[in-house]
Amino acid sequence: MKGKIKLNVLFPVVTAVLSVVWIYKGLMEYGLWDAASTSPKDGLFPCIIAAVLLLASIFNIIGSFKEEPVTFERNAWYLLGALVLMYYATEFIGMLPSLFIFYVLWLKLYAKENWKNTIIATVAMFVIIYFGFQVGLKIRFPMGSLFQMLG
Amino acid sequence: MDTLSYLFSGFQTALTFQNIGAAAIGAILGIIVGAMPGIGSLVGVALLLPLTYAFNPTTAIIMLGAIYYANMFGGAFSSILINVPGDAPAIMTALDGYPLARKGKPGKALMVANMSSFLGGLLGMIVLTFFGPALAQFGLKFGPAEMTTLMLVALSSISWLIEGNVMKGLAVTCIGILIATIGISTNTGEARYTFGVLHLLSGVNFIPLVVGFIGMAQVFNLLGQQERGNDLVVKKLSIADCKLNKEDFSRMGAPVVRSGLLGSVIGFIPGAGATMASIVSYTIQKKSKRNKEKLGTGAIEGIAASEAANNGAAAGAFGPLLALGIPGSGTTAVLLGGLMMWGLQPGPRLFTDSPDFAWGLISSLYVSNIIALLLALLMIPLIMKVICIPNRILIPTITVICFVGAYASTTSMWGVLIMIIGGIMGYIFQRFGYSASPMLLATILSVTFEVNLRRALNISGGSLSIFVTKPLSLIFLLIFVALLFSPVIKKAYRKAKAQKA
Repeated sequence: MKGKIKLNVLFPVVTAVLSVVWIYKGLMEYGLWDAASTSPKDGLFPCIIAAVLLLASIFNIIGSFKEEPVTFERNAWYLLGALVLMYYATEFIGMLPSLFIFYVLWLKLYAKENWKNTIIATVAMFVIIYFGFQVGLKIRFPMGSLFQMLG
Repeated sequence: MDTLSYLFSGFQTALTFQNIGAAAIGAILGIIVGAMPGIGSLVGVALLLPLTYAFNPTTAIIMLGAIYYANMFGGAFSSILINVPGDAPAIMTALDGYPLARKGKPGKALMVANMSSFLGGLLGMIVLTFFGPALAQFGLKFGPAEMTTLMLVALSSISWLIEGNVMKGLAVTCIGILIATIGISTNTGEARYTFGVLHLLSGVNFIPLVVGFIGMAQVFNLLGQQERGNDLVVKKLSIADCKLNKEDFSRMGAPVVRSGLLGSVIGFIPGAGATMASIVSYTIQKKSKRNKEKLGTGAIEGIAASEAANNGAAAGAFGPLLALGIPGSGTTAVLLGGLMMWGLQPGPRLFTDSPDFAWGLISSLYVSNIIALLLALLMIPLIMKVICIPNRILIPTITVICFVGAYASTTSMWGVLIMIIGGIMGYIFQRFGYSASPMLLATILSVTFEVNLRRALNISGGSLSIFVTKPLSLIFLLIFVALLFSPVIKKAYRKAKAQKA
């Protein structure tokens, strides 16, 4: 177990904080019960559920110490980075070019596919997207500021 | 007779050119994603949900139904050909399907699986046709108190029975409900929990959330999985290799009827689902003295029992979904989300308020069943290629589909952002041992739950006694309590049994 990060307690702590935020806003901003009309206010239902979540979180915090340590794939960071890059690149060069670059780079650099497979997979993928979404469903994908400037 | 005339009018809806086309596209996609190990019906339906965006509600839901239903057909392919179930309900199929394929009869194994899926599904649809409306009639007697306690049963049955860990199941269920409270309140029309973000006024978009939580999270999971070997039992297979003789059909008969009916009944139970149906049916089949071969060694009876049960359950699951608005599994929760996206409110009134839609969907299942059987046989060569696609290619492919799907469903980058956040959350949930399905179910049922709780409390003037003074509500409440404590009781029972041993 040495070297692995024991993060198990983190998740229930986050859910406990979430429940406290929901209860606080429910009590302070939305209210629980309207005595005049004898009916529930907007905060009642979320507060009940958040209270149950808080209770469950406390049990889960206690239980987390007995669990096997949670670990994360290092590769997950690469994918996360790629997702963030694609999101911002869409603003600049548009969605389809961003996805195209990601797809080719992932197959070549991460999957170490040969050029033949990379080209076949990329062409197949983008033919499906083009005809399935752009032609079939008439989705207009964002062009990005660069192409908008040029176009 | 009424039921049959409604069914025939449903066929008029289902048999239009557009709806047959939608069912065929849904069946093709459903079989492909069902056959791909590592994707499965939940991920498949989640990824393909945005595709229905351009259709009218009836066509969209017919397509979704076909995707879900055809998934069950696809799942058997990888179980039989590479011993890796494409989906959880096909786990039991692998036990006999793969050994039969190894004996040099992969075509026979596939044909038995497909025919059993078709016949089991057909039985499930007949059960759905006659018992679905009856269930809806029963549901019409429910008032707000009964609906509130029924929601408790629905939420607990899937969350806690499946999870085993009551507290983790409870936590994810609550998180799902809290997510659904974001946006404009159905009661006062005022904004709740939006934290000043304008996009959140309309709530958290369900489709990008599902695409991220299920589809993108699966991509993160695939990163950690070892590459599968390309170990197909045969390299080439045609329809001619799939012929069955008279004896094969007679061996299939009894298991198909028994398991198909059993699966249909299990499908009606919220939280049970196709996986449980195939496990129960296979276990019963194993005890049968009429098996010509021992189950687990390539027996036709084993494949037939498993496949008939999971397709029967898939059809049966539409019963509580349409009649009560209660999804029986994570996949049907996504389907319910799709229905609601189109402004349809499944529940007891669906059959009376929107009979065209309800019966159109049920009739389309019959059509999809025939289309799925034909396509499953015609697509054998294609499916053999599809199931060998390695994870390293699936990863960028699913990522791109998630991106495009999230954008297509909202036509805004906000949808993409929700998908990315959902994907990260889904991955974190899985790493910490929290399942996403109960959360999605809770997100979907939250509005019905809150509206009925409010109404019940309004009627009673705030008194909780309304939930115990009404007999049906009390029964649901007792079931809820039993479900709540069932994991604890099971654990104590196992402990006592182990100590005794």
